[in-house]
Amino acid sequence: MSSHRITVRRLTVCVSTLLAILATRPLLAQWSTAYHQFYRQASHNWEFRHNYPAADRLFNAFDYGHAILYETLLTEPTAPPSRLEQQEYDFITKRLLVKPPRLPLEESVIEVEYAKLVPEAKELFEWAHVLHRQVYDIWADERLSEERRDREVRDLLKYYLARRRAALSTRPKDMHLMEGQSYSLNFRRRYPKFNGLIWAYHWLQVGLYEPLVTGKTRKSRQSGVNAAVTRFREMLVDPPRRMPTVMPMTAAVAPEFSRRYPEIAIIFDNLHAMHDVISDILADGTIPRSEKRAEILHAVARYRDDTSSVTTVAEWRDMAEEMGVEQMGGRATPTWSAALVERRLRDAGVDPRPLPASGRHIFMSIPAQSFALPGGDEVQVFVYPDTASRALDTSKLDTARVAPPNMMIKWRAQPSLVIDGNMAAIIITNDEARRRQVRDALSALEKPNDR
Amino acid sequence: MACVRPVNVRRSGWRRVLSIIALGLSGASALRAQTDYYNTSPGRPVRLEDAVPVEYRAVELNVAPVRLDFLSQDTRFWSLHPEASLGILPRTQLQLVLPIAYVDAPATSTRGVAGLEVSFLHALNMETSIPALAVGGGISLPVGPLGGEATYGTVKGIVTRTYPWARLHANAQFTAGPSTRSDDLDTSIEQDARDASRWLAGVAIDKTFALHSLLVTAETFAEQPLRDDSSVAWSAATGVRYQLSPRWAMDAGVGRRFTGDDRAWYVTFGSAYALGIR
Repeated sequence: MSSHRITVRRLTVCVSTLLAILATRPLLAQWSTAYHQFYRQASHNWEFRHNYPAADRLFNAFDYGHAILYETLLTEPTAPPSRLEQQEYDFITKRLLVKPPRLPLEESVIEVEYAKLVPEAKELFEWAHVLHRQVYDIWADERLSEERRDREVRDLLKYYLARRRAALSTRPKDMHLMEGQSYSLNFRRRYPKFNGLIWAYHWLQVGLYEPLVTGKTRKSRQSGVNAAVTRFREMLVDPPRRMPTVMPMTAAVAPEFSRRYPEIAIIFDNLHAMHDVISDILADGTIPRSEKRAEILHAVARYRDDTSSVTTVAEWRDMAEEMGVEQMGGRATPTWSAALVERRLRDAGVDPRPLPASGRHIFMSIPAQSFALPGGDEVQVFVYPDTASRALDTSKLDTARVAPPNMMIKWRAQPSLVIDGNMAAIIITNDEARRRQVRDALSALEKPNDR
Repeated sequence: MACVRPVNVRRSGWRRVLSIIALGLSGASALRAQTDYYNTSPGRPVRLEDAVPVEYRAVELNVAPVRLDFLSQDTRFWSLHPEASLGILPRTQLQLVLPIAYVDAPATSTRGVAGLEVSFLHALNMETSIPALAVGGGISLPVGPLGGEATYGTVKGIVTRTYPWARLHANAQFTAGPSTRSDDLDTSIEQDARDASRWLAGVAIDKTFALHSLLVTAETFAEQPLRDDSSVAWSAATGVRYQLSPRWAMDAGVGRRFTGDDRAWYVTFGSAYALGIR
């Protein structure tokens, strides 16, 4: 009898312990030690807000779009697509983006349930958005030299990566991670318009870096940013026809920025892919709500680590090009082409006449497209795939003589070199008025009607 | 606060207090800082707070948080609570407060530093299906002419639960240290104007209007004053916090202590900025 009692007591203790463990396991799974961290304190803080207020305010509105999307997908899983595609879309595009909030929004007020579901993922996004805004700040601060900007960006990246649990990987991930999962593509298929809106957001978020980085003066940066904002607004006309149809990738939309800061560009692509993945998980009706947290955390871990589905930087660039920059919304700043050069010259009243192809200069790596100008003058145009390739050639030249320092070139008139972005041009003329005219036509890339 | 009484000070003192406040406010626009209007702290604008410390590596400066109590017999009690909160660790803040009190009575008045408070707040978790939980503690040192003679230690616990329609907060705290006795009430009041109670418990609710960066809050709480024979005091208050710029927030509140020995209306006003630790 006594041993029976002991057995029953032991059994009771065992069962109780087991029940306690089972009861606490879900609780432990819900225990989050995520935390907020202040942005890196620096003299350039909030410079983008001061110098580009219209673009800055748009980002405040973007905060709302992202937040209401997740909250709606999570809390109204059976709502018809029109809930997002019409109701929220109209509110965002007709009211919020028309008069955006003056301050960054407290997203946890808009996405209350989502924030409680996965505070870790929310913090991951917020930390990357802080990085976004602080890189804008650095490039918007006209007091900083280019070298100082590079140094500040390096320090900022270090600050960002120091929070390993909230930082996205600097290694590019393959598309399988985003598009090859059981839940993949759910969101974009069900909500094409809202998905296009989110991609348009992402296009602008990475696209703004390009005019900031490539602009040589405050004025050119301002006009480039304005042009990018105009382009973004054009995407929202007649939706989803003009919206991106593939995820905008930084390497394609902002190639100069990506070349300068590849790790940051990769972080942003991982961030935007992560956005899409979470949308897909939340939109997937086959994943019960009780499992969404675990699924999202699993995806977050794969975008955070440096091992899952990693691809090379070269493959990442190729992938961006192959996906088609036009489908992403286009490059954030126009790049030079021979046709654009010809049009610029014509618009300037120069009347260029294309000449047949001739041999390549021994000091340039690509052949020139030459144009005859009235009066026997000539302009030779070299259009490179990117600024870096152009710089490889032009950095070797004595720009006053337009020749390598150790080489004597006999030009038939006075040469002068014009370089801008991916283009170099040699103007050959003794007519100084003509030289100025051509130089002006080829100097500023961000002119209206170039797109 | 409950034990304040006026003693021999010049009437012109209140002008000095206002000058300090004005100075603080004028400096505000020049400072480059950020404060999150969503993150409430004690007295800004109401007594109860949420279970969220300032961000890690943030420094929040509350330069001119002022409170005015309309006590009985035309007595006004002003208190200024300059404070700095430092996010010293993830989910952990250290707070330093140097309260300055000024009592303006019909015949007499007094002013001076009313203690030095050092406290911490640590959030145990971030809210999920489990509410946000935080614990805190601190000591109040007898510093300054109105800072008393005893050291008090306080522990507290905070719970915050967020719903789509509002956030709810529950606060409870206990203070250890000597009680004051009624027979030497005047003496202790002259020497100690610190805001302390044996225990305090209450609930608050706030509603945020995200697109306008505005938070509206209300609270009710009960507290047992440190005097042995005093009765429990119930208070209720309401207030707003508003983000003026990315770096600057303001708050204002009004409340009433409607039971207990020192029933009074009070108003609060404050502004705060945040900087990062480099």
